Amino acid sequence: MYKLFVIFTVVISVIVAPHALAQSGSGNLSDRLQQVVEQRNIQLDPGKRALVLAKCQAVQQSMRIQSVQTASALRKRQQVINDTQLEMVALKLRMTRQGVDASELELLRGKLQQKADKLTIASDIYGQAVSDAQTVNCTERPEQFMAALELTREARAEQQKAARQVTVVLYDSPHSLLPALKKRLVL
Amino acid sequence: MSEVMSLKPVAPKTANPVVAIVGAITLSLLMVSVTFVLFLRSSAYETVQQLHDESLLQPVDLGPGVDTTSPVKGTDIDAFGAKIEQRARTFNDTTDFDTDELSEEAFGF
Repeated sequence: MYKLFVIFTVVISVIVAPHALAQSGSGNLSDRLQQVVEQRNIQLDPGKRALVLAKCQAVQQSMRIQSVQTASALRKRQQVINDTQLEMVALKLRMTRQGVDASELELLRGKLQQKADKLTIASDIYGQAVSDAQTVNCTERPEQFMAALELTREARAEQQKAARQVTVVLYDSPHSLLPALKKRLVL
Repeated sequence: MSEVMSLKPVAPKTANPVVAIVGAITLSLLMVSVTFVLFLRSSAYETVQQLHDESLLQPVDLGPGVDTTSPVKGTDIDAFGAKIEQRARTFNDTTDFDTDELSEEAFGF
């Protein structure tokens, strides 16, 4: 009977814990942003405070539109990465059947995947930052809203950097890796 | 008796450590080589080889319209390179992930 009770308690804890953690995470938004406000010493003078209060809800709305556009740009990149990787696999299979070493393609695929993973991580961080900026009650806590906006800007810069790295790999590969492959094919 | 006293103590024979190490390495290399040769001559290796060859010849389905069987020519590599470069050209990271649109000036603060 005692064992049954212990098992039941453990099962309930396992089921309930993630929900409790998730709820506490979203409930902590104000605390998290307040921490940023204090760390960065974000202060608003009366004039700026009035401006923020007047415009912040419109800004939150425009950030929603921006998020949709960003998601579309990300989907486009993901599609290109997937298509390119699929074509690399197909090319490698064909060359292997010919008995030609195609390790450059594997290298390129790994490189592209690495950059794609970085973009995914940067986009997740950006998504969280945007969500915080959109969710915070900006008319009650304008300093926290400005803190969220600052975090969003930083996350956006990282996202842009990661996206550029994907583009650079796609641009560079025809010049850096593929010529060696072609040469080997001719020999 | 004096003859016995004049005998010098004989130093105990010690193995040269360098010889011992070289011997151990040689022995292990020999054992690895024997095992490798035995594997190459075994039916297990034949099976592995056969499976590998068969897998190379099997057409792999990567989706409709994806060629995985025809021989690759130099022009195919050129076309592939041009295609990915073309795809990269459609990206405008500065616009798509614009940082200025999140600036305080952009929001009029």
